[in-house]
Amino acid sequence: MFTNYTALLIYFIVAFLSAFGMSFISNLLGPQAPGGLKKATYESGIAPEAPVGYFSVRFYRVAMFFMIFDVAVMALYPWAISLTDLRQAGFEKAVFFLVIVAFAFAYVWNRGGFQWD
Amino acid sequence: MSATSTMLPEYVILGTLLIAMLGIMVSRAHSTLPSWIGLLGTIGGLWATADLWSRHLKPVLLFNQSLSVDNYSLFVDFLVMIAAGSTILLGWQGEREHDEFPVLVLLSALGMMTLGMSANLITLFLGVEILSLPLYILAASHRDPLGGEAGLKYFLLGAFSSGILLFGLALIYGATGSMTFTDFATAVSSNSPILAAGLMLALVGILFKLAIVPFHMWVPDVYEGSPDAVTSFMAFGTKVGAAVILLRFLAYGFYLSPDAWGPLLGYLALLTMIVGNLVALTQTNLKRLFGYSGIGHAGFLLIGVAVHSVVGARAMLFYLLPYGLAVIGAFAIITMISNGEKNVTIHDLEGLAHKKPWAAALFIVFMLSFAGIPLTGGFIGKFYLLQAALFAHQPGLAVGLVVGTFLGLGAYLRPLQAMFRHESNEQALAGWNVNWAQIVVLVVAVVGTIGLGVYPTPVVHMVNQSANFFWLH
Amino acid sequence: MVLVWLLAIPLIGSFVVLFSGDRAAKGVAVGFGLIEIIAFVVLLAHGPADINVPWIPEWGVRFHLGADGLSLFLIGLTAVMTVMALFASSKTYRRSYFFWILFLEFGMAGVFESLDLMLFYVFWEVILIPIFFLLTGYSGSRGRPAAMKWLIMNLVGSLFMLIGIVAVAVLHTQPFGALTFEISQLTHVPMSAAVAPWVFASFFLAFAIKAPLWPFHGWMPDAYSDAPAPVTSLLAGVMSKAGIYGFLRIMLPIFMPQMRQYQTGLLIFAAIGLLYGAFMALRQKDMKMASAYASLSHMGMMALGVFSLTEAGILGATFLMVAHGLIIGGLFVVLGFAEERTKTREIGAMGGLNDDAPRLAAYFLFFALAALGLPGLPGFVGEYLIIQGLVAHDVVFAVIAGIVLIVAAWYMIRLFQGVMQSVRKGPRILDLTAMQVGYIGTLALLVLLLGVWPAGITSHAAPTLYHAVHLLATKGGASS
Repeated sequence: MFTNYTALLIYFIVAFLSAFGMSFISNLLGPQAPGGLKKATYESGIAPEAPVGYFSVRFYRVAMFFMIFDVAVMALYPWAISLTDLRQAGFEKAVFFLVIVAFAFAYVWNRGGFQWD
Repeated sequence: MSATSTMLPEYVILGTLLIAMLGIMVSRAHSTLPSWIGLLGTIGGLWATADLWSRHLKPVLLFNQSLSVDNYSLFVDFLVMIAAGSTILLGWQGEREHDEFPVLVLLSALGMMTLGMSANLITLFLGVEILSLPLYILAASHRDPLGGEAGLKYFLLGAFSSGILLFGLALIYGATGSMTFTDFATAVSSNSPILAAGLMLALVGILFKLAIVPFHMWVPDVYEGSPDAVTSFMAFGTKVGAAVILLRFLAYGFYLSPDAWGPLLGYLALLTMIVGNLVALTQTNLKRLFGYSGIGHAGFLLIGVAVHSVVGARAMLFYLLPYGLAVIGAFAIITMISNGEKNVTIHDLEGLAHKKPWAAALFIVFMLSFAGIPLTGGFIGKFYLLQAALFAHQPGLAVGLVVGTFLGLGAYLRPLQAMFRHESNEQALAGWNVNWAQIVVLVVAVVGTIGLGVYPTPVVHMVNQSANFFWLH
Repeated sequence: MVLVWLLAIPLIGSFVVLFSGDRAAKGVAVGFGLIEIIAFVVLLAHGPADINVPWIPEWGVRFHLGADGLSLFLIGLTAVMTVMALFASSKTYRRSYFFWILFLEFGMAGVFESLDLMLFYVFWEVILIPIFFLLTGYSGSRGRPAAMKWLIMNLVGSLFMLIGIVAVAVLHTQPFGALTFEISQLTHVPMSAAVAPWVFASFFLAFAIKAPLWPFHGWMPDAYSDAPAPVTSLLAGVMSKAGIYGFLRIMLPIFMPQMRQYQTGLLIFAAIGLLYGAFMALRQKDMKMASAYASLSHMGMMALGVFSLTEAGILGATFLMVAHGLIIGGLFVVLGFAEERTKTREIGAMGGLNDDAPRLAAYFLFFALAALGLPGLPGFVGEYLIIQGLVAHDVVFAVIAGIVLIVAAWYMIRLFQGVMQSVRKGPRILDLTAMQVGYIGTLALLVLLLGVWPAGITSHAAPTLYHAVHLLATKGGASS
């Protein structure tokens, strides 16, 4: 009955127990001093100025661009591994793909997507 | 025949949208250059489609059986080109639309064309997503609260339904071990519960896009909040994409077990026809009215799928054309009245017959086509669907179609009677504005609608060739 | 080819009217109406005609037009009454009015010419649209609801008939293979007992609503009384015949066994309608309303003739269709004259028009007498034939028809007395102009001609109808 999957199951249980066990034990044993500054937002030691919750939409935009180009480049990993099998045809298609990504990059740049304001 | 030449329409559209982006880069803001490029691209795509059609090619499977280029996909290309071209024309007034408008429309059109060709699960999902993502942006492209609501609602519900669709597709893959539609029927016995669950979830995802009751709740708000041209694109293009993939998905993958989904779709079709048209009766906002009537028309389309026959497939494919032509025609009139500024209600039509008799006459033609009165294309489409229902021994669907038509007619009569009311509304037609692009759309729509009603034979012939390949394998 | 011209002339005419000015519209329209009459005369000279080309070959739908003894004179009726209506229309109407009238003529001519079920249905529904817009745009205060009622009731009927049409064609494919909508080929459709009543009902409902027959006449009173007089004359004179024509052209060949099966019920329906219309006509205060119910009663008479399923009855109905079309159409035109002059339709508020307008009164009397079936005038011929057919089938219905003839005399005379005789209550009115005398006189002459020479129609119609009745004898088993 001891198959590979049983090992995996044991691994899951141990991982779960150690993760939750640690936080539980620290909660149990550690000193408790609630309130005060502990509830405030941590901003590099400076007192927070405004209520949190609203980031400027610019952050989202940057995050989105990062995601898009990051995901696009991620597609190159499997390609790189199997490049030897794919040969020239695979290479051409990757170049085509990169051209499109580069085109999108140029478009975003041209339209002012990277300007902070 | 290489992949490049059989997929020429798709490549033309892809190239066009890249060039249009280039055009946006080099031209100043609010230039019509991108629109011109997009328009020429759709005409080029139409030409490429017609060229491929005239060569009578055998169906080809491309990219490891993931895309099937055949008469079916070419006919879908025709429909999508008409939808995309008319949308670009209706959004011609660059002032309120963003520069990216034609690019996004073409990208969405590319998704629809992908759905027309799709023959496996990956391209199905890709097509749905390529279709939807640009539409989310387009829906919110007017910066007013309604537009924001439309975009957000469409995005959230659309993402949700995409998730369900993806889950369903994953289950199907898990049960059958194959991505290709044609393998499903033979891969595993059809009473596998995982396969059944996968099929149901995938159907929910697609029916959401097609706006079948009870997955229709997003339609009225999204239609109302989106810009007029975008709404017309949603009403025509999205329905084309969703309907054709539904048909091919079921007809290729599950043709051996129609009992598992046929009756279900039949009942949904009945429900959709009745509910959509019934609620349309009470609408005063024209875009909401067309939203609900579009739901009803989706129910009509579903008849063609539910009966699971060659006639049904042909009838559904045919019905898309007169429906779409009436949609773009009616929305051309709406854009003339609204001028992109306001939501057109029935009261805005008052006195139209006296002040703008020609526009009123054309509007009558489109409404009658929606209602399925003879000498318009809508009638021929309904006639074909009736044939499909009765050949399949489904008089219930036939009666449902008739009752739905009847309720729908009541909804279309109210704007018509409002047009003949004498000037009781001073505000009506204050923003009347006509440009050449709208007139082009109107001419295409009215010639197509009447032409289909008077001499539908060529299109019937085309449709019969398009849906011929089903159940031959 | 002349059959196509009969359709093309009003269609082209309607669009020419649309592109001409409002002021010229009436003249142009009348011109096209007269050309249509010429085309009909050509058709008459040529005799039976037939055109049969494929329309949608994939579905076996054919563009099949024909004019035989049954439809020939109905086409003529359409042409004549349209011209009468155009003449009688006010010059002040906009061109869209004349567009719709000519478009209506196109639709009605198409209904009477079609020999393919699908084509028939196309024209059948085309009729709806012009009448809807004529009622919406050009009639009195109740016109808008009347238009809605008209469209909704008729669409219920015709949409279910559409299912019936497709069902008949689909049933035909089961033994015979190919899809066809040709009426002459659909006569041998085998129908199971489970399906037949529904298909029969779908057709029956459509025709009964259009005619209208009691109890499907809900749209009729408002539409007839509130529409402009020329439109009413077209509605009552021509359009209503499409319903009866449908019974003759479509139901007799296709549904003969069912007709036989339900014959008694159908006859009772028609007889009730006949009596109901007559007695309602008797108690109306509105002169157009009275004539409308008189027309309802006459439709019941024609239906009785058809449902008697005898040669004489059917021939009588065919003849009466044409005769009644001319008579009731003329009557409504004359009522229109009276209404235009007195600005009222109340019988009680008129009276004594005879003194000021003797010519108006004379024509009124002529058409009223024709409508009540005075011997020597064509109404009598048709009614006589129908009663003869009823006697052959079941004498009870013949007696009812005879009684109604007496009531008819009563309500028509009452109408004439109320409007034309007794004491004048309003200001002086003008008599008919020479122009009006010109066209209403022509119509009266036509009626007179038909009365003294009914064989002009019956000799044409009889062979066709005998064919139909012969068909029913072989198909329905028992002979008449």
